[in-house]
This record gives sequence, structure tokens and C-alpha cells, in this order.
Amino acid sequence: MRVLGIETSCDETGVAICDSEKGLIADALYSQVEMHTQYGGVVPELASRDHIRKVIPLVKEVLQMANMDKSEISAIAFTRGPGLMGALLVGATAARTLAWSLKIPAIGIHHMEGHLLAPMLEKEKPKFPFIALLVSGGHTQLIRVDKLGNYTLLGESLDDAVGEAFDKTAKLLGLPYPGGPSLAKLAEKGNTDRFHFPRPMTNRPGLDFSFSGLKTFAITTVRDNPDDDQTRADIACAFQEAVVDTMVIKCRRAIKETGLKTLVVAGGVGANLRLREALGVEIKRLGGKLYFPGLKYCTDNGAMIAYAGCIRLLQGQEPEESFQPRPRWPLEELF
Amino acid sequence: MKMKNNKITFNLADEKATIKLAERFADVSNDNFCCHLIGDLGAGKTCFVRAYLRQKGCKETIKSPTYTLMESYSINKKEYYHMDLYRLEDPEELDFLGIRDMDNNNCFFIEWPDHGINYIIPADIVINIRHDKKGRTLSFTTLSPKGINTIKKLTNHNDKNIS
Repeated sequence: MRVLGIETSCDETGVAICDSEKGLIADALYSQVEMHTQYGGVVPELASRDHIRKVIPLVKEVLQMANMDKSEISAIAFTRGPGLMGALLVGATAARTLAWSLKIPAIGIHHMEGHLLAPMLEKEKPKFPFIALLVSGGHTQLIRVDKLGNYTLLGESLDDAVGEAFDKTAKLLGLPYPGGPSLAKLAEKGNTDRFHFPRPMTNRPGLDFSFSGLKTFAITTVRDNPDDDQTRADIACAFQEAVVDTMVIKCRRAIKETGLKTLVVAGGVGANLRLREALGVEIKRLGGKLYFPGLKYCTDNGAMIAYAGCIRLLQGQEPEESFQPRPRWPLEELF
Repeated sequence: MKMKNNKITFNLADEKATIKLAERFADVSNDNFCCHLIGDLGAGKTCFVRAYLRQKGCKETIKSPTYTLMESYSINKKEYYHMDLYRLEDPEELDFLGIRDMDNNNCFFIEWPDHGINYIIPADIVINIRHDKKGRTLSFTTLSPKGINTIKKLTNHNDKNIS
């Protein structure tokens, strides 16, 4: 079975093809692809959320990569939600229309399920049940995953997502937005002992997060200290340590509460090396196993949607004829 | 508190004061307006909107709308839209939110309105939040009859704990 996956929930337009035997055989994000073939040599500058003009050229591009004709696609998977209504509509319409014209099934996928299954695109795959830490610009969630479609939300951010806290603190330090990755780089030159940021919501029970206060703490720290490179690096370092430490504490708590010892980390912030390192140490100490997606599958992509669609269809999920996008869609409603 | 023509200004010592003012604003307003919020990162714009929605009876988690650009809440059969245009690169992207289909009679809070100028619903009230050494200064400026009526009620409301 060969499943074409289409992701258009937010900023990225991603398309990929997953083969049930060979795994991922082609994948592309609009931003990474040179699309000369589709536009006759001129690549127009398109707004980041302009999925309409990107999605079909991208489908053609992955078919070419996989050396396949569209008639060889067995099914189409698209992101049904959660995300921006208009953005979701583009992917759903493109997918559903293609599927009708090719007379093949189409299946709507939950964006966050795509993320938490992304580590399964790697050689070493996690086994159910496990705990998933989903950390990105829009999400901060701890989820208990018993099997495909069986998810329990253990905790989430009550205000800013962790990636947002990174991006905004980076901006306060004079880095361009979104600057999460640049902040992490700056933090490498920082001194861990000079500033100490709070670890929000760690001194009370529960698995929820709150990162808005760290932003305020960063503002005060920037304001009350000299404006020089070392100070900025020290603040970046203290901020990152606080965030990483908070996530380690919550993951440890989730492991203790559930008794599960496998942790899967996904989402854009999962690419943060300091987080990978700190969680690695902690999970080893607890005698558990830790899994991450490859760096390019941490952020939004079509591959995870193609993969999730592929395994759902293999498990016998019936495709539906309707294609109602769901901008708000709790993961726990899946089955 | 200082009142001047169509502008009223409050000095806020801390986050608690911002929350208290937002609650008071919620108590006197009829939710029939569009409010633009202006202020730097971390000024307390989202904090203000969150406290407003809580006071109106919102029970859900009120997340930052920065990533999704918009969150909506249904409270006592009334729709509230909380938008944040910070991440918008091109105002045309607002079409992806279905902004043209929205009913202007709902209640709107729009953060970073300058990123979507000419595309968004015009403000009845502009809230400007500034950091200063003593804390924050928050001003309401009214730009329409709807806004003026709401702000008038705010000035009549007696609460000495804020300013």
C-alpha cells in the first residue's frame, strides 16, 4: 500500500509518500524544495500560510521523487485537525478531491497523532504503551499512549507553549523571531551559575505546565542587567536550563505516576539538544527507554501524516466520504 | 486613574493589578466591541484578556493564541474571539482564519493589530500597555460611540484599589 500524506494545519505545507513495505519513499516541505519544474524556472515568494498554491506542485514533486505515477497511489491521508480552519480546508479539499478523482480512499488524521507516531519513522521504533511529551510552538502536552488511537492527556500548558516561550524570550534577547533554535545556540556560550530562573509549577503536584511567567522573568532580568553579549548568553542559558529542568521533572513524575518506562519526545522543541541530553540522563537513571523522531520530523511534516494514515488503514480503519476539518480536536476523542 | 477626553489611564503595580482592572472592565462591559491591544512582549496583553474571559465565566484553559493566531470561546451563548497577529507575515493570511465571515457583533480582542492593519475589524477601544520603572501603565482609548459608553461605565465604577 502506498499512502500520500498531506499536512497543511499551520505554517508548513508538507507532502510525503509512505509505502507499507518500504516505509517512507518520498517527502518534501515546500520551504525545502526547489520547485523549478512546477513553475517553469520562477519560484514565487509565497506567504507561509498560502497552502493553496503550494500543495499541488508539492504532490507532483513527491511523485517525481518516488518515480511514481499518481495512479500508483493507494490512499490519501490528510491532516483533519487541529489547526487553522482555512489552512486545514486546503489540505482536506486537495486530498479529498484527488481521492475522488483517482477512486481511492482518503482518511483524516489528527495532527498530534502524527507527531507522536513520528519516532516510528526511525529504525528503532518505540513499542506501546508509552508516554509522549509533545513540545512545539503551539503545544506542550504529556500524553499516555496505550495503543494506536488510545490516548490520555496527563498534563498540558495552561498558557504559553514551550516553543512560544523559547521564541519570545529569544526576541527579548534581540534575536530574530522565531528564535528558539538561535536561543539554544546562544545558551551554549552562557554560564549556568549567574542567573536562576524559576521552575514553574514544579513545587505542586500535577503534570500541567505554565511558561508565561518565565517570559516575564526574562524581561525583568534583561532590564535589570547590563546589555552585553555575555549577559545575553547567560540569560539564554538560565532560561533554557529552567525549561529543560521543568520538563525533566514533569516527565519523571509522569513515569512514576503511570509506571510506564518508555518516553517518546516529539514536536519542534524535541530538536533541542540540551533537552535530548537531559532527558537521556534522566531516563537512563530511571532504567527506561527514550525515543525521538529524526530532527527533520520534529517540526510539522507530511511524512508523519502519510505514516499515520498508512498504519490506520492497515489496521482496517474505514475511510469516510466526508471531510469536515476540525480546528479544535482533543486527541482523547480518537479511537 | 486619569481621564482625558476619550482616554483613561491606570497605573498598575503588578500582574494582580492588571487582572483586577480586567475583571472590573468585564463587569461593566456588554461584550459588544472590538478591542485592540498594544504593548511589547510580556506587557500583559494576554493576561488582561484571560482575566476578562475568566470574569465572564470562561471555564476552559485560555491558552496564548500566538501560535494558532486565534482562539474562540463560547460563554453563555456569546462568542468571544481572542486573536494574536504577532506571527502574521502578510495580512492576506487572515483569510485563512475566515475573518471575512465573522459577525462583527461578537466580542473581539486583537493583539498586535498593526500586523493586520486594513484587514481586521476596526477598534472601538484601544488598550495600550507600557512598562515603566514602577510597573505598568494601561490606557483605554475610545474610538467609537460603543467604546465611549463602555469606558464611561468604567470611570463611574468605584474601586480605589487599582489606581
